[in-house]
Amino acid sequence: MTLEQSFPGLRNSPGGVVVAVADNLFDLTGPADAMTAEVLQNQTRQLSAQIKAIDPAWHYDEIVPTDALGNRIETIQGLTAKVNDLRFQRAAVTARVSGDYGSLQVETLRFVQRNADTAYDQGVALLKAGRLAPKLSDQEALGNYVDRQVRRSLRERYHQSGIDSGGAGPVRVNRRENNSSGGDLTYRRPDARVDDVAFDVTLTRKTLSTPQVRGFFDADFRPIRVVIIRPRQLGAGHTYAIPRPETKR
Amino acid sequence: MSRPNPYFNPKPYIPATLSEINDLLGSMILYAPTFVDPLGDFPNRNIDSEFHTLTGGFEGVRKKLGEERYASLMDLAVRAKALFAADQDDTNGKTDEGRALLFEMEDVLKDVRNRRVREELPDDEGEVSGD
Repeated sequence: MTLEQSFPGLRNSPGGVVVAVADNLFDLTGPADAMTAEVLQNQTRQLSAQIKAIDPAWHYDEIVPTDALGNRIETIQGLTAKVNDLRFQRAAVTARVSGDYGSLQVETLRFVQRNADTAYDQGVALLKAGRLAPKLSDQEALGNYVDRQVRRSLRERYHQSGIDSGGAGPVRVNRRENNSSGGDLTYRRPDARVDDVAFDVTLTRKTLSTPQVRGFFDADFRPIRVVIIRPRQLGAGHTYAIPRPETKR
Repeated sequence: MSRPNPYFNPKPYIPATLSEINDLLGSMILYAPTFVDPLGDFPNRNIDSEFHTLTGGFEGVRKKLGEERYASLMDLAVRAKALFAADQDDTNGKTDEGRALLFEMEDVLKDVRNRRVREELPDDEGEVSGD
């Protein structure tokens, strides 16, 4: 699934229009009774078959805990993590085999959203308990911790999938993206970049008029969109994509 | 015996720069004292793996830190790990003491990064960023 398929209308949206991302893209608001072990098991089988079809050499290594009789102990949380892992692996295998980064863009968004949401809850709890002693304002400190946790886990996730996020390739975490179009070389550092999409994790709302966002669009990798990822706790429209503005002729 | 999965790297990711270590510290501050990943994406993450990753990061930037700061950070890491290990239920106050040591590590890294900016020392991309 590409970002266009995930966000219908993105391709034709006028320049600068912000397209909200539906919450259920992240499986956050789906009916709880649908999240049964059987549904998840079916998903893992489907995903495994899809990855095998892309590369027959792929196989899944896992250690599943067993009871005293040797029966597998599988929890809903464990199966959910396995589905998420297989989705990410499918995206990584697709990128490496065919050079198509569309699925990896979607999985990066899902991964970052889940991590931002969880880090936000944890940060708020620690701040309320007075256990973070921030030197900045509470809000700045919270945003800072969320950013750092997301970047750290994303690097690890890519690394686990054999993707180098610190080099010159199309997948990068918090790396310099140059803009060589003007007289002086300038640059921006998106929290993440996957091919032609930039991702920014933030608590504050940003638009095309935000200098940082304009700077991303001006970078040499010419992103087709900037995805602003904010914790879902911030309410409706927390996460959205800003498409590249059309150039006037 | 099956062949290794060509798409899975079992080795832990060791932060390669001062800012990546700073990101790791931010994550550790949030999830002390057990460091268990609540999402289950990293089922092997625990106190041992976290401190292995952290000290591996210090080792990688040892030259940039200088021997004195490197030794200080390694000592802080040993002490912090012991405190977290002694309060895995987060009930006896040692987690906060350990977290205070992580804050100290942040300050040491900040000093080093500020010095590198003052001295205009380039990072691996040729930029004066503090890394």
